[in-house]
Amino acid sequence: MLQVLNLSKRFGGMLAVDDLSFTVNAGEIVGLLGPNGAGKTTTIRCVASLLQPTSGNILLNGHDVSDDPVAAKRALAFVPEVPNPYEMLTVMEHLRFVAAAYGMEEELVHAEEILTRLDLWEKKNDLGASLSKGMRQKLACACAFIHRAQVFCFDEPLIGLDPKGMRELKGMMMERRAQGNAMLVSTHMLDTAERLCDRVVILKRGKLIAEGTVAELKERLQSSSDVSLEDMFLELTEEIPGS
Amino acid sequence: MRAVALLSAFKFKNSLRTLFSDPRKLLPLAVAIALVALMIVLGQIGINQPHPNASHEHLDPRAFHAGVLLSLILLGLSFIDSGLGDSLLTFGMSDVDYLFPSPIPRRVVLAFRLPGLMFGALFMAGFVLMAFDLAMRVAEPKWQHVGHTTPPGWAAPAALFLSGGIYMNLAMFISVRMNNRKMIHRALMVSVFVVAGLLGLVGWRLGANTVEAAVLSKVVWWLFLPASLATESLLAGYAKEPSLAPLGWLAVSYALSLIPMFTAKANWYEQSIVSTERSFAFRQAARGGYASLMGAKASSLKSTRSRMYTLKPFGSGAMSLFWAHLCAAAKRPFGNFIGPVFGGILAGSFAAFAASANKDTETIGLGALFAIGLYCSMGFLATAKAACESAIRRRELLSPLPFPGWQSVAANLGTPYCTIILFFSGCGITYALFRAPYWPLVSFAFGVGLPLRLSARMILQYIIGIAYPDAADKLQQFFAVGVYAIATSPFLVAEFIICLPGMILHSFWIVAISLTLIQIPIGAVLLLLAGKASEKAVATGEPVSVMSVVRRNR
Ligand SMILES: Nc1ncnc2c1ncn2[C@@H]1O[C@H](COP(=O)(O)OP(=O)(O)OP(=O)(O)O)[C@@H](O)[C@H]1O
Ligand SMILES: [Mg+2]
Repeated sequence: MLQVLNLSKRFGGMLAVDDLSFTVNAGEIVGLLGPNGAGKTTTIRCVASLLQPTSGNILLNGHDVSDDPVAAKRALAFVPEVPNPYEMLTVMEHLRFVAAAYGMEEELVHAEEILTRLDLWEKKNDLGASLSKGMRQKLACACAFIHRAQVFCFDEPLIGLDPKGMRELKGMMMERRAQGNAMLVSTHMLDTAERLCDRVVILKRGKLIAEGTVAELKERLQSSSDVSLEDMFLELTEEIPGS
Repeated sequence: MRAVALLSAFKFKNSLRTLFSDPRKLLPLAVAIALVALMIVLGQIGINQPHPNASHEHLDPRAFHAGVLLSLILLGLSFIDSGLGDSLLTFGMSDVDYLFPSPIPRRVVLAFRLPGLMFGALFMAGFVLMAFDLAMRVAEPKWQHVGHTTPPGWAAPAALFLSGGIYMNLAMFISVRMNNRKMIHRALMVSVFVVAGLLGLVGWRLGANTVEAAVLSKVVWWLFLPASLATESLLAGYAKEPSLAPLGWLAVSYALSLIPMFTAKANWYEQSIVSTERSFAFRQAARGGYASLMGAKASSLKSTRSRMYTLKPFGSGAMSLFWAHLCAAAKRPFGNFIGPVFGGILAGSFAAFAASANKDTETIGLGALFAIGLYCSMGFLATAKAACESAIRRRELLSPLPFPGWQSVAANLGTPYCTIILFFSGCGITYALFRAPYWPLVSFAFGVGLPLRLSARMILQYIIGIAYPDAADKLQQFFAVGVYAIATSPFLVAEFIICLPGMILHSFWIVAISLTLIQIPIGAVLLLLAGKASEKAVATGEPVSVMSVVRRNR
């Protein structure tokens, strides 16, 4: 579904992502973990073809992001790190615009359901400028779920959401996984990642330092079974003498 | 295509709706329209005045032609230069988040920038036509009529629009296509200065005719084809030559200039994101306060060089707040302190040179001073608004501070005011040092009168900033200018009345002194009002209506 092949991204002299390869299969949620500045956002932005990879390829549903961006993006739903809604568009108009952009106006029948689950239905006629931070985040998620994407990329989607919002969002992600969609979720919330993600990819300074299911990682580190992902994450990102 | 059209329609509809939902916001609209109308009427009256200088010599049409061509070339180069900067690819952050990741082809996104470019070209065309008209009146070149056909009236504007549009499209193409634009930008700037210098040198050594011949040479004609064709269309009417041929070529070139722009396969989103994020951060900083902060932000985004600033706290009460602002401004010493002094010295010496050269240029020098004073006042007023907005935003920090509102207003405005004093006194003192014509009066006006007047205006702007903080979109921001115009009008009337005795006695000194003196009570009263408004705004975070501040004033 989503294949990242030898992706590198350089900003001036700084290599933000270094020869990164991983795959997200259909019906799978993959967590993208790493300390601040590890290159998570950069990777996700390359997937959304907002950034041009310095080298390497990204395949979305078999379409190369650089060669055929339109077809690739049609399969992708993207939630940015800090979503800025259009100040002069209402919540409902955001959904209508996104549905039109993906050519899926018929999906707007689900708008009420999605907005209600995210507690935005009463706000449907409010302007983007008047939304609080959490509501902006929820609106971006609602826009991601309104069209029938096969691949979802979330950049720290849970930050700023209230407990109910978090639960609903995680629920919606799991429903989509059950429907066979691929999801890439970057997050710092390791306990959530442990419960939500099928596999995790851990980055450090742009390099992949570990990949696999939580159980596999435990095995690799020969840790006892009651060790949490958090302990392993800290051990991995601390221990490996990094570049 | 449909989606982007939908987006624009929604935006437009909602910004009209927010504008018209509140009758308060319509008042400025009316004032803005009235002001524009007034300007047009005054302009018409001015244009229809017969030229005062009856024994005016007529300019040689060839020289006039060269001058027009040179101006249009410079204009075209400035368009291209804009393509080498960030501005053309700067979108909104919302576009980065919602529009760019969507499967809308980049070409379509670009196409929706085209109307903006066209509008820019149209605006420029109008402006150039006005300037051209003025130049025609002043220079009065004598044309030889070579033919009998008069071109239709729309030919000249159309030609200007097309030539501007071609340069705009070229600029856009450069933006989309070129990654390392800084080098080209520098090269262009350097070559423009070198060529200008060369032309100056040639004109000085070999006479103006050589310059004229160089500008009208075939090389220049081909190099700046759109500008040359536009000049020909513009001037052909006066020679009564048929002028539609250049126009036709311009139309063809315009269509051709669209092709490279839309066939470039480059992923310009990345460059756009860089400049969009920079301008977003810049705007956040601008909302948060001073030019200093904006400069710091801009430079921090460009280079990662970090500097240490450790300045000791100083003073107590409002003084410490002022000191904190001053320290923040000191992080950009050039923009806040050194630049204004130099700017003032530069403006002062230019005016002094122009004014002392001879009788003809005296008006130019004094006029330049007047224009500089006016222009800089407007710029400085904007900083007052920014200071006010930042104060409202930082109300959690400010409201617990134990001093009266007027002191906190004074402290917030103190730093921008220092910049102003540096600039204007630099200007006034330089002018005085040169002993240029009327130097005592001019230096008094620049060193004392204008800064005092500006302080009163800044406080007024601060009050308006508190009353009208909601400038969510460009339309509203535009009309907020009208509010300021309304608020200043009573003060303008008061100033006019106070000037009357001086005008009757024909004494500039009386006018200047009375104008200066009246600013002190006005400023004090406004400061008190601003303090009250600020206390209210800081306490509630809500806009305070101007009327309610006046009413509560005991
Ligand atoms: N436009 C840019 N120009 C230069 N450097 C950049 C740019 N964008 C990101 N970087 C650098 O790339 C590195 C990776 O940044 P990125 O935003 O991908 O990190 P992240 O893993 O998302 O971090 P966080 O957890 O803080 O969100 C950082 O060192 C950052 O400074
Ligand atoms: Mg990030």
